[in-house]
Amino acid sequence: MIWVILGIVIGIVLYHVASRARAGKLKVRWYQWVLGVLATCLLLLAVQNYLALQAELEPAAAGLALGLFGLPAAVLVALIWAIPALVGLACRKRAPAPSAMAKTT
Amino acid sequence: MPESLTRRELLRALGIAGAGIALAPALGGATVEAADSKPVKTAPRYWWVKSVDQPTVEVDWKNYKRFDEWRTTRGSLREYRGAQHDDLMLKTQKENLTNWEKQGKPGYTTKDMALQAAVGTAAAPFKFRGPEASATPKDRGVPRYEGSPEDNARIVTAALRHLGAARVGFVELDENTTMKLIYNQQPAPSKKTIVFEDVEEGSEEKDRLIIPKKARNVIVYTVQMSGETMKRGPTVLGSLTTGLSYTRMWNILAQAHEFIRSLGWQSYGTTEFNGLGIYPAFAVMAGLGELSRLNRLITPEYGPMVRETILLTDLPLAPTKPIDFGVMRFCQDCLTCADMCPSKSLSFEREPSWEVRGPWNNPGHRAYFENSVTCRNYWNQVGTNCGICFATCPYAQEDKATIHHIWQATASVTPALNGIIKRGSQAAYPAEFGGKPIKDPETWWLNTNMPEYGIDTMQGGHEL
Repeated sequence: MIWVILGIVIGIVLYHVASRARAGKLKVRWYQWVLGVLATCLLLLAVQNYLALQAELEPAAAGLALGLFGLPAAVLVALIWAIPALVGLACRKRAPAPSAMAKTT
Repeated sequence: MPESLTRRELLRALGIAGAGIALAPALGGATVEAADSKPVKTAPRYWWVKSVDQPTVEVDWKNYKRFDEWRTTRGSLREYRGAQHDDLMLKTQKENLTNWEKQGKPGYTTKDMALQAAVGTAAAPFKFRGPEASATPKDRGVPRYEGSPEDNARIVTAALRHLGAARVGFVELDENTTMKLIYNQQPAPSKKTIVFEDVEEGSEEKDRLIIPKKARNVIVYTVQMSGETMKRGPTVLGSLTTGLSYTRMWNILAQAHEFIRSLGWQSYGTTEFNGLGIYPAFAVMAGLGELSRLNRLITPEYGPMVRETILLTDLPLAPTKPIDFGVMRFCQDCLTCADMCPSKSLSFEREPSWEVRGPWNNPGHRAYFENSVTCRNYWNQVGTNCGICFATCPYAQEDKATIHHIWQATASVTPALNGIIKRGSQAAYPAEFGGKPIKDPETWWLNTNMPEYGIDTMQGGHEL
């Protein structure tokens, strides 16, 4: 059942992102797709291993597997948002401020 | 398919697909029947399990000799450690068990003792030709079952799996090689000599077992052990892991005898506990697993958590080949079992050796030989068998989580990551040195939802 629910959730998120990107409301760069796919794979591995190791009655191993796959997944998800924000920040710093430009003219 | 489906088009497409799925078995009946009659040598295995011509343990067949079972520490421990020390160890064992039961020590309580008594009950008695209780085809007035060796191997595998065996393999006896794995003499006290003769039927005599030369096909099968009780060892609760597996294994042996008999063929099995042949060696030759630092079998499906035995028959059977899934290479780098062994009885050498550790080992193969006497001394101290080496082995886990598949596949193709895998396993399954059970024995009694016999019968990729 958990896999059906996860499949539906991933499907809804993917549909939402794809339709917004197609409508021009959201700009998704190629590396964000790559990071998204990797993060999803790691997230699924984290869920599968956590649940399976709990079923194997090994809670310590389950926690370790959750960290092993879940933390990199969280980092990748953070990067999907962080990279464009950091790039934008760097661009703003490089470009002169509008007020300074006005003074020189 | 059109790019944008209307609701009606979608429903029509689903209807056609559904009808196709429903009609497929009927339309493809002939194909299914043909597939069913196709010989199936072995059940599906993980992709990283490779069939090989020679086992991963080196054997010097020219110098390899048939061994007397009674030379193991089962039969000669008193001789190996001396009568005085033997008496002392047995006295210590008895006193410890009594005291610990009185004190209610976890794993040694009266309920643990009671369960141990229960699991050892009702095992079928050992008989050279089995119970011989069922009617033969001759009795039923029909010809005996005839099939190709592959077909026979398939039906024996199907039958034994149904009777409770974990995995089944086959070895053909060869005078220069595999026949040497049959014991020269049975366990003590009978010490019966096992001989092969050109006779129509075998027989059990006062001082020897006669096996007809035509009964040269060996059925080898494993029986799963419960990891949940094994991880509560060394305690009485831990020790009943092997106890229950033996009971099941001997019952399956009696049933297998009857299956072969009822097909119209002959079968020969042990007449004593651990008799007839070297079971792990046969399991290695049949491809059920690899020999390991434990000097015992490790299988791809169940790790070391198995017991194994054999049955000889004249029913033609297609032999199965040895396997390589990286265990011998992994054991070189791992050493977890040797490190955790409380009596330091396992080998710490990186490479397996031709040198035996004592007369309890059979020379002629390159293995990680163990000190069976110090191992047995420790058993006496803790009152029961130990099993820590089995329980701490990284392969001694179930296979529900994909991480097991990932690391086992990695270990099979490259030994470069063995060190990381070992450290990961130790972090995931922490164990303390000194004979402390990995899991608290009392917690086992709290779980009333354990699987039957404490094992997962679909483990090992059988669901694939």
